[in-house]
Order: sequence, then structure tokens, then C-alpha cells
Amino acid sequence: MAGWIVISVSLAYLCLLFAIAYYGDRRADRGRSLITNPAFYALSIAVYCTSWTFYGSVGRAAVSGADFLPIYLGPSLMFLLGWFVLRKMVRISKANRITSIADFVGARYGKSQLLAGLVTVIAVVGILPYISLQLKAVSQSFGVLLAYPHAGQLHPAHAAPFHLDEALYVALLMGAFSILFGTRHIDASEHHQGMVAAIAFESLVKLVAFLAVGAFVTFGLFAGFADLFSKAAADPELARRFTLAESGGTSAWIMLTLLAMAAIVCLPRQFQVIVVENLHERDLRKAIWLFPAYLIAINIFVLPIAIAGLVFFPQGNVTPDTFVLALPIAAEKPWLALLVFLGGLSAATGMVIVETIALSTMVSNDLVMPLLLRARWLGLAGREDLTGVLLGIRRGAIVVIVLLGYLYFRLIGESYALVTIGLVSFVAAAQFAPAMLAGMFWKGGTRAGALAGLISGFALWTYTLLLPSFARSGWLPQEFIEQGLFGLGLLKPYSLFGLTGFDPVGHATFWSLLMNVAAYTAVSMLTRQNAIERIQAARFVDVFSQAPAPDAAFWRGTATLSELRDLVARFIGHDRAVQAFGDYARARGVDLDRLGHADADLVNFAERVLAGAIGAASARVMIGSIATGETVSIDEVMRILDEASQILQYSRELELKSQQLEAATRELREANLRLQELDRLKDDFLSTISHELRTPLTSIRSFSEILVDNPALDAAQRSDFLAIITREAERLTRLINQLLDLAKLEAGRLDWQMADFDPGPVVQDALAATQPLIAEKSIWLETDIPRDLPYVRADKDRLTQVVINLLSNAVKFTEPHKGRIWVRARATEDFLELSVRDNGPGIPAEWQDRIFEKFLQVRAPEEYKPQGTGLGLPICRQIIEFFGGRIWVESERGRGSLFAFTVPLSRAMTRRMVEAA
Amino acid sequence: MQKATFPNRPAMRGPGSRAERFIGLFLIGAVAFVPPILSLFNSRVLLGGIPILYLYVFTVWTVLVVLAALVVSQLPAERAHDTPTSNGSAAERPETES
Repeated sequence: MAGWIVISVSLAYLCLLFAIAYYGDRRADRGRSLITNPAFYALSIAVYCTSWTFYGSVGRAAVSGADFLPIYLGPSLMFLLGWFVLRKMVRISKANRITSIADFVGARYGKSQLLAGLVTVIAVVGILPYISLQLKAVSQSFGVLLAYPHAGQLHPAHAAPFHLDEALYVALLMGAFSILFGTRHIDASEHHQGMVAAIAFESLVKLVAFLAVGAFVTFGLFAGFADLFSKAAADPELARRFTLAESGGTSAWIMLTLLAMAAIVCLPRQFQVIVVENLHERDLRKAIWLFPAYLIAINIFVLPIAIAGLVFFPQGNVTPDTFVLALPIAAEKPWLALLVFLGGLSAATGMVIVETIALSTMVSNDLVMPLLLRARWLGLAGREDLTGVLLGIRRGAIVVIVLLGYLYFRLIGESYALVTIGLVSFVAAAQFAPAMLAGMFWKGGTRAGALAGLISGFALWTYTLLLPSFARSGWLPQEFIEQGLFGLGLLKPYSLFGLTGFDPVGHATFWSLLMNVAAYTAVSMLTRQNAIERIQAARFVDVFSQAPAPDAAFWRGTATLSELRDLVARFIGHDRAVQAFGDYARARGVDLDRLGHADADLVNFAERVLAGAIGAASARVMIGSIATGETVSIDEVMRILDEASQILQYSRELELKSQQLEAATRELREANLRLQELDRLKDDFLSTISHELRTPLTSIRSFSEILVDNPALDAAQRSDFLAIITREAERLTRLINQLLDLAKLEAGRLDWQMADFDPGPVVQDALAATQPLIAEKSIWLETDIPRDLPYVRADKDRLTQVVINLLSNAVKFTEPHKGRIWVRARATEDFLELSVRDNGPGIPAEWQDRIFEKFLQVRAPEEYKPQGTGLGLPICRQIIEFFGGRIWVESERGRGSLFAFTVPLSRAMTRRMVEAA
Repeated sequence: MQKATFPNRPAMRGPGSRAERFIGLFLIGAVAFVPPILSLFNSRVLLGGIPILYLYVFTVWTVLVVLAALVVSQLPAERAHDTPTSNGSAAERPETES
């Protein structure tokens, strides 16, 4: 294929990337973000899949079978924990304006410049090979494509001098992209929306390209998965790829899974897209499943392509790393080959762009800037406007990193397969994991511990991976690998201290992470945190709790407002500084112009703004240079933190207490309402009772007076009056008896004579007792009382009282001559049910529930007002309920009412009846 | 009063216990993808034309992702903390909110 076609298509593609990024930034500037859909976030995380995935996975599968998978299973597992780990990282970083992973680690351990610088050095040294790997992949795929239609061979003229090497120009273009879209803001904690949009687009392109070639191979060159695999299964040499490697396959699998789990959060570019570029915390929700789904999709065709490559190029003259491209070329599909090339290009460029942006931020904030500010002879610390310097450093860093990557590739990269280079970087990045992850969940980690862990991990990485790679490239004698340092067998870099059974990467992972974790933990336990470490540890670990942030207490002293504003302005520019302080004033409702001195809160605000631009560690140093007064001591910090946690606990307890109080108050209010109602009822009752008592009393008294005053009354009149007095006295007695009954019932002091008896005679007695009343009003009575009713268990006299009461009520409420009363008794399984029905006026529904309450009749409308005390029904209810039955009313206005009650049958009787039956 | 003793317990537990399902999923994944279990499938046998190891890994993987999506969909909607920080110079919220 002609070089110019490939070059112009590549250029066109890169132009498209620039256009997307430009458009994305324009939209973001106008406040109409292009990447509001969380899918963009998930896709941008897929920058994890570099050209190493695109070409290298197939290469690895072709060589050693299934063990390309852990590189993708690890991140998928990590994302299952995303809700706890990633969300916390994002929250911490937003709260602290974290700009990079170096910043994150540095800030966690007391805003340590040393630690941040160390992380930066490790990242740059560790990641450079990875960047060069991308350039190598681009160069290699370019060469393969140029050789079209000779599949898998490099173009003969490809060993170009570097000024003709397209990889160099790709690298420079990528650098330009990073500079344009990655260093637009001074504030590195801000989002590069255009860059993210372009990266998301690249993730789509590489996925589509890979799926296209996979589908072509599986369904075009073969007749589907089953055909492809069954052909391979016939050849034991090919079928080897269906399984893990036979020797050391399982231990390598575990190590790779661990490594990939760490890499997905520790690689600087992953930290950049997952944490720094995160627009909204809620976007994580979608990424938690969408990113692993992406990984599944991009891995489905890896093995089929690898198998197909082995089938089509059995002589081994085609590098497995280029199978993805060589297969469409061999099948003479130039456009598919071009699409694959673009997919690989997008995978490589996406990685280079994000990685250089992340690394340049780290280099400028955590390495160069601190050094420059310290170097007094430069006079930089006194310079008015440092924004230009800051951006210049970042842009310079990008160019330097890209060129270093290229240099590495030219000098050393040719000797290695793609996958091995990538894994070397993974192991380096994984060294951040202990300090970072433990730092988020364990407050005890100290700065010294983190330093010790990082240094030992990095040293072991250097010894077991980096130096051997130099040896392989001929920079160090080969004996170093074979015989160990100074010829000591125990120091062989690939089997340190005699450890065997691992591949070099697994071996290095094991030793470096083991020593890293051990040093981190041991030194953390042996050293003490100073005040700011303690504060930062609490801020990171407790980021989700609502404890008051203790940082406001760190700066005791104050700074003058103008000094503070000038300082911030020097790093982020005058306009933006004024705007930031203005926003602060509005949010807190303070007037800055009246505030001569900045208080601790404002000083901390300024520090955070600065941290977004130059990193937490440098920001702290800069603020420290102008804030006067002293910082707090460790004892005070402990006290403050204790207080904070106590306050938190108190406030939780208070909240609980107040909720309990509210509930109690509510109950009290309800109880009080009931009491008031009862009180009113009692008053009503008393007035009714007194009225009821007074009526007979009055007549007794007046008739007695007549008798006393008129001794000459004739005998007939006298006996009439005496009869009235007797009757009224009886009425009075009855009333008082009822009252006493009720009182006793309620107090539970009544003497109950419980017995088993036949209820029939009781009902007959009651009917006989009320017969005069019924006859007096000429009421028609109908009874239905079976003769053989079962025995009930109750108090005979009380039961009679209830029946009489119901009967007399019925009589009272029916009209003379027209009245009808039905009395009916029935035995159910456990109860005797007796009902008294009348054709009186009936009881409205709203009163039916309440007529069994005492005193009720007082408030009843006149027409329902019973003649009597109104205590009858309440007494009935007390009695029936004491027996264990219930009493109720069924009524409808104008249709009469039915009072019924149940009394439990005698158990002994029931048993006897059952036995008899 | 029993009810009033821990009035906000249900509200506090709800999201927490749902999110804890992620830990369950992670443990399932961690067990399913390490050698003891994995080596049960480490064979050249084809099942339905697919190497059994790949069939196993991709099936479990897909199931885990689907379950993760289910758990996510059941999490309560996120409130607050979410003011976009794209305009980074905007006033910071007081720390206690975050």
C-alpha cells in the first residue's frame, strides 16, 4: 500500500481528533458540555486499552494462551469495588483539588513535597517504556501496512533514519495535541473536556476496529467460533492456547490479576481519567458496569485472531504482535487493514495523550516547580506572574516526555515484545497502590512509611525488571541476568533469593509489592505522624463522614489579604484570582475589602485554590511563606481531631435524642388530648349525675316538706306522697348502686360468682322481670330461645342484669302499641349468642361505636337520649368482656337496632358434649 | 418507644447494605477467577465449539457485569456533592458539605 495513502489517512484521522477536542472545549466554554452522558466517562476510562491491548493481547494469546485475560479481569474486579474505592478517591480529590496521583499521595501524607516528587520520578521512569511501546506499535503497524500485500513483513525500506521515522512525527503530533488540549488551564484539577471527548471517541474507534477484524476473521476466514476452535483443537500445539501455560501458569495468573487491579487505579493516565477528569461523582455508577463490559467486548475476539494467525502463518515468519493487521492483509482486504491500523493508532495516541498530560502535571507541580521555587538564585519566588512559567513547564514537560519515549523506543524498544514492556510499567505503577489505597482506609500510615514502601518497591522493580531489560539490550553485561550481581546466585534478578516458579514479571511483582507493603506497614507503625500528617490522614479517611474539617484549624496565624491575593494571582493569573476571591466572599457573605487580615478559613481557601494549580505540597509551602504565626502542634491536632470525632458523635446522639424527644412529645400530645377529652367527659358526667341525683332528691325533699308542713293531710294523700318518696328513693338507690357497680367494675373489685349454668332460665327470668314494662307499653314480644342451650360459664346475676338492661333499653326506645321486640338465643361452637332486636328509631352509624362508652348519652342528640343514667351499656360491656365475650350493636336509622352479645360456653360442658357425641 | 430508639436506622442501612452487594460480587469474582476454581476448567475440551476455559471465564465475567449493573440500578439516586467543578474557580463549598 502506498505510503502516502496511509499517511494521509492517519493525518486525516488525527485532524478529526483535534476537531473533536476543539469542539468539546468550545462547548465546555459555553457551558453546554459535550460529555454530560456518563458513557463518555466510561469510554474515556477505556484508555486503559492501549495499542498493547490492540496488538499485544493477540500476541500474548498466540504465545502463551489464556494469560492475557488477567490484565482485563483485574480491572473488572476492581470496578466491582468501585463504589467503595473509586468513589472515595473521587470524593477526596474533589475536596482537596488533587491534580495527579503524585499530588494524591503527597497530600495524604502531610502534603509532602518529597513524597510527591518521588512518585513523579517513579511514574516517569516507569511509564516511559510504556509510552515508547505505543510509538513502537504505531511504527511497527505502519511498516506492516506499507509492506502490503506482503502480509506480516516489514517494508524493506522501513529501517528509516529518525528524521524519516513516522513514529517521531506521530509522537510530536501527540505532544502538540496534549499541549493544545491538556494544558489549557492553569488549574490542573480542572477538566479537559475536549481531550476527554476525543479519548472517548478513540475508545470507540479501537473497539469498532477490533470487533471488525475479529468478526472478519471468525466469520469470514472461518465459519464461526465452533469451526475455528475445532480446527485448532485438532492440533495439540494450537490447542495449547486454550489453557493456562503449563509451568507457572497459575501463579502468573494470580500475579497478573493483582497487578492489573492495582494498575487500573495507579497508572497516572487512569488516575487522570477516572479521578481528575471526573465531571460528576454519579458518572461512576454507569462506569462501574460499562467499563468492564467494554473490556469483555474487546477481548472476545483475541483468541480467535491469535488462533487464526497461527493457522495462517504457521512458519512463524510473522510476529504474533502483528496478527491483527497481518490477517486482513493476507486476506487482501486493504480497507479493513486500514481500519485496523487506525484502531491501533487511536489506541496508541489516546494513551500517549492522557499519559503525557498526567505526567507533565506531575513533573511541573511536584518536581520542577518546587525545585525552581527553592532555587533562590533564580529569583522566581519573587516574580510577579508565574502563570506563564507554570504553563511553560508543563508544555516543555510534555515535549520532553514524548521525545524521551521516542528515544527509549529507538534505543531499547526493539528488543522486547510489546506485552513485556507494558507489564514492566504496570509493576512500576503498582508500587503506588499500598500508599494510596491503605492511605484512604487506614489513618495510621505515616509519611516515613509511605517513603519507605515506595523506595523499597521501586528499588526492587529496578533490580528485577529495569536493569535486566538493560542487560537484554546489551547496556549491561548479560552475566548480570544469568549469574546475578557480582556473580552471587542469590542476587539473580529473575530469581532473587532463589525464588523460582514465576515468570520475570510475576517474580518482580511478588518481591516489589511484598517489600513495599512490608516497609510501608512496619515503618508506619514505628514512626509518628506530625500534626499536618494527622490532619491529612483524617481528611482522607473520613471524607464521607460529616465531621467538621480540621484543616481550618491548622493555620493559626493570618496573612494580610492583599498578600494572599497577590500570591494566588501569581500562580493562577490576576483575573482568575480576583474572581476566585470574589466567589469566596459571596459564598461566605463577607466583605473582603473590610477584611484587612485574612482569617484561617480564607488562608485555607487560598491554599486549596493554589493546590489546584501547583499541587498540595507546593501550595502549602507557598502559603507557609506568607502566613505569619505558628502552626498547631501535634497535641493540639490530636485534641482537635478528638473533639471533632466527639462532636460528630455528640451530634449523632443529639439527633437521635431529638428524634426520640419528638416521638415522645407526639405521644404526650396524643395522651394529653385523650386526657382532656376524658376530663371533659367526666365533667359532663358529673353534671349529668348531679342532675339525675337532684331530680329524685328534690321530689323527696319537697314531698317530705309538704308532709312535715302539713300534718293535717288526709291519710290517702299522705300515703300517695309517701309512695312517691319511696319510689324516688328507690330510684336514687338504683342510680347509686349502678355508680358503685361501675366503679367496682372499673377497679376490678367486683365479687364475681362464676359458675356453669343453663342460660335458658336466666333469659326467662329477665323476660319475666321486664314483663310489666313490656305490658305497660303494649309491646309485641317474640322470643326464640331453644330449650337445650349448652351451659355457659358466667356470673348468673350479672348476666341477668345485662339481659334486663338490653330488654329495658329496647322497651324505652320503642313506641307504645307499635313497638316490637325480638329476643333470640343461639349457641355457636364456643359461644352463646343472645340478641335483642327492636323496631325503634335506630342509632346512627357515627354513634354506634361510642354508645358503649360511659357518659356518652350526655352529648347524644335529644331523640336518642335514653331515660336513665346512661351507665347501663357501659356496665354491660364491662360485664360481658369480663366473661370473655363481646357485645355489639347493629343498627340503621329508622330501621330499629339489634344489640347482641356472646358469652363463652362452659368448657366442662363442651367437653362433656363432645365426649357424649 | 422501641421504634423511636433507632429512628433513622432503616434509612441509613438501606443504601449501605445494597452497596455491600458489590463486595459480595467482588468476592465471587475473586474466587471464580483464581486458579483453584479456574483450574477445574483448565482443559482443552470444547463445549459447544468453544474452549471450556474461555466459555467459563467469559460467562462468569458477563454475569458479574450484569449483576453489577443491577446493583447500581438499585442504589438510591445520588444527591448533592455533585456540583460540577468544571468551572474550577467557582466558590468552594464549605468543607462540611462535602
